[in-house]
Amino acid sequence: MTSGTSPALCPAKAPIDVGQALDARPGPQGKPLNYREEIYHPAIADPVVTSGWFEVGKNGSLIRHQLKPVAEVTRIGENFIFQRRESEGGENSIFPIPSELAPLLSSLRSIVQQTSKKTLISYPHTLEANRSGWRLSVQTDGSGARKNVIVLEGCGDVLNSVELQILNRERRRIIFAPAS
Amino acid sequence: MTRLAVPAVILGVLLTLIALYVEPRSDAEAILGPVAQDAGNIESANDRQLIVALVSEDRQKRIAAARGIADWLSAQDLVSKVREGPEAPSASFLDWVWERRFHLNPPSPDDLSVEALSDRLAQARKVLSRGSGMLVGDRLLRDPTGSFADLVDRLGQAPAGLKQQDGVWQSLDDTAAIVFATLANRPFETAETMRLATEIRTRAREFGVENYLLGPRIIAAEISTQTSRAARFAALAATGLLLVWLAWILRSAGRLVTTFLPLALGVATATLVVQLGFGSVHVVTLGFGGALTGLALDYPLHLLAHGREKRRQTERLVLLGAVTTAVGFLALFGSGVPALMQTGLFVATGLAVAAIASRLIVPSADSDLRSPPMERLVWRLPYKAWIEVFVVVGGIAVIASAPTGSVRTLFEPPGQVDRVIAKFAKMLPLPSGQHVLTIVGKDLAELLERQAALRPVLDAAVSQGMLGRYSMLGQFMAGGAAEVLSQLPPPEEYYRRVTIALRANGMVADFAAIQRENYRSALTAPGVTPEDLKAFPETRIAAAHLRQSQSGWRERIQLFGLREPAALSRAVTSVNIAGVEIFDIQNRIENALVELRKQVATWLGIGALAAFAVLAIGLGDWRRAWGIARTTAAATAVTGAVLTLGGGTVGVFQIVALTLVVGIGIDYGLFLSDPEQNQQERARYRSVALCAGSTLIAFSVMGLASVRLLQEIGLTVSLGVLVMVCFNLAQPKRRGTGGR
Repeated sequence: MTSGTSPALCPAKAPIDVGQALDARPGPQGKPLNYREEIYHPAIADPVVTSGWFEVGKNGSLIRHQLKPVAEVTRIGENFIFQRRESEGGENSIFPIPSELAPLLSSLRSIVQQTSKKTLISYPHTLEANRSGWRLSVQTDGSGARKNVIVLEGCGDVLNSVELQILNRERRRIIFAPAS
Repeated sequence: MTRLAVPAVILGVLLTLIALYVEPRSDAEAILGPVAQDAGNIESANDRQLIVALVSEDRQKRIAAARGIADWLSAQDLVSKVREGPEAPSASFLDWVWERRFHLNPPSPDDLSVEALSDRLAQARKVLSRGSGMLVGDRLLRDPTGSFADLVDRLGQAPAGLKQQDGVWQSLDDTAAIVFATLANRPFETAETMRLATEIRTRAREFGVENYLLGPRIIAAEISTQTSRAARFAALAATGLLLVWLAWILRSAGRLVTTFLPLALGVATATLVVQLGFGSVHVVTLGFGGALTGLALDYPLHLLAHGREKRRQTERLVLLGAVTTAVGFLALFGSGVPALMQTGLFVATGLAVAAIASRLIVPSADSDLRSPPMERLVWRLPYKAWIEVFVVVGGIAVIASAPTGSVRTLFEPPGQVDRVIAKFAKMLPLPSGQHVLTIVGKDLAELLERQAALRPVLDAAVSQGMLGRYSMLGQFMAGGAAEVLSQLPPPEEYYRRVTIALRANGMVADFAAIQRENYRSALTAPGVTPEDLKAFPETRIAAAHLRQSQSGWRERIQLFGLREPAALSRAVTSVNIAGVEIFDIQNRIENALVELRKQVATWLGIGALAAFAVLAIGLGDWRRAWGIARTTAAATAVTGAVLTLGGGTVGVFQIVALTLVVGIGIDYGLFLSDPEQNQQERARYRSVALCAGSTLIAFSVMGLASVRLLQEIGLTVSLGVLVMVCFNLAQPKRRGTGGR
């Protein structure tokens, strides 16, 4: 799969409303959920690419197993991210989740856990559809110039990618794909 | 019964007033003075820390135990904060750190070279791919000076260098999960602290793990509990035996009450007088003073033993004895140590009130008291006067020859405390409780500047192995930031350099404009103020050992894993930074105790001389007073010498107890030396026998207590009484009638 692209043509019907779009799930991959992430930042010309797989931890936290470029495990809780890199002696680091990222991480968790993403419905949103598929944009934070937008793209009831856009800052697009 | 009713009512009123107004005090500063400040204070934030170690070979079991106990502790009112694993700084705190990064950690001019900026940009790009990259990656790209990156690294460092597993701290020897807690900021109370400790231990057992607790309040509670338990047992046992003894000799419940009532009135009045005079009553005063005031039990016994005919004379001797002893104890005011000044006032007041109360309460009647026939123990001592003088000189010589440095601590911690500390020392580096490094500044800026100067010395000490690590505010907040910032290049020059650095990394050159604006904001951000130190839990932790007073700011720098204290001391003193002091607190405390002992001994010596002057004036017979003084001094010197030979030195509380022995000596001497009592030998020997018996019962039980402090007081007074009786029963060869 090429990076950053939806299928050329989407034969499935677009969701009729936001609720249906939010119920879309990544294709029949079972567990774990493989991904490829593209990270765009104003300071870099080409995106940084990572890949790995997601799973849900014992206590409901989202666990990201990154395989490339460097193996690491990140546990995403409600309020904190715990990171462990074996190449650095397995030491853990812990960071708080800023408010602008919480909706993205919450969405990822609900995608992996296959629970409802309906919390996003309360935010301002726009649903568009064309031959390539559908696109749902949800504005999750309106603080000053930092308008954070979560973009979900898919085809029919299959969710292809989730993207967080932070104005004037980085953009992270997670594409659900076979592990590379 | 009317005679007893009024005093009983007065006693009831006094006890009510005590319950309402008396405030017990337990701080070490009341005994040790300012040096206690560095020894620790269980009311301070630092000394409200508690560490729980949960030991098990099964790591998952101990992790589960840590989480469970941490959850339970978090719900307790007595606990204000619990950490069982790494805690991320809050988002708002990180925002504050980001804004003030140049003041917290100013970049050096070297950090702003093109090469350094280029390296940092390359690292920042790699960070983007990390899980944490979405949280800090953007800021690291916006600020490639390293200022923010270093701060994030520092904030992520584990306390005490511990590793963690599944979000729970693990000990260095990988045997235990560690939970840190801070107790609530409220006055220390032994019972509730012990309940908390007991509950933690119970829960640990339920999880199937061993547990160890460490913390100043826990240790204080255990010492207090052990001392209270021992004191309660000693008091109960002594009271029980005394009651049996007194019931046997007095043969009457009424006389029993009559005997105890003056003592109770004396102790109650003394407590209130001390509260009025000092605003609080130290626990040392209550315990020690109460025990010493037991001498007051002798007064009713003397009155009962001597009967109606000699009543007035006996009253006079009782009052004179009380006054002379009170004068001796009032000399403690000269020591300047609040707890001892209080003790002096307590004992003086207690004895005086008890003597007066005895006069008013004890009926004037002939009584058939039982008593041991002490008169049969009179023995002949030729040249008694010369021998007593020789004994005094010899005793003083023995006491003076004791090594002055070997001063015992005032309160000995229970044995298990040392074992627990040794156990913890293997699990995590504990801050040195013996060696203290302090730094002062007239304001926060000066303090941080001095810490900035000290930091290279301490870093070098760590790298050379003298020290494991250290903790001070200056590691988190840089000193002299304003001066450093003034030397940094202006924003346009910075823009030029980061543009080159971006191109060198194949990154977007236009981003330099954003980096320039961030640089400008950081340069012009407000500095860190003392209020900032209280604004976040993270800053409060960093400033936990910082104290502000009228004279300025002072921080006690925590030293962990101190292996070469002498070398560190030399390294610190050699750089001669103003306001920095490193010292051995144990030496200081020992020196303070040595000084305290000298002061107490000096003032009690002065007090004894004053007491004997009062005695001579009161008796109106200086020869008789000299005889009593000589005998008392000889017995006291023998007691002191035996204690010195047996224990190596005489401690502060033993010296104060010896003053009681002097009081006892005066008391016995007054009655056994009275030439007018030759015809009534039995009465005077009987009263002294009753008093000696009562005192021996009370203090010998105390001497068997498990707490060293009580043992010392009990053994000192018991030995003193025996020796005093022995010397007072000795008669010179020429006198055949038993007089002097």
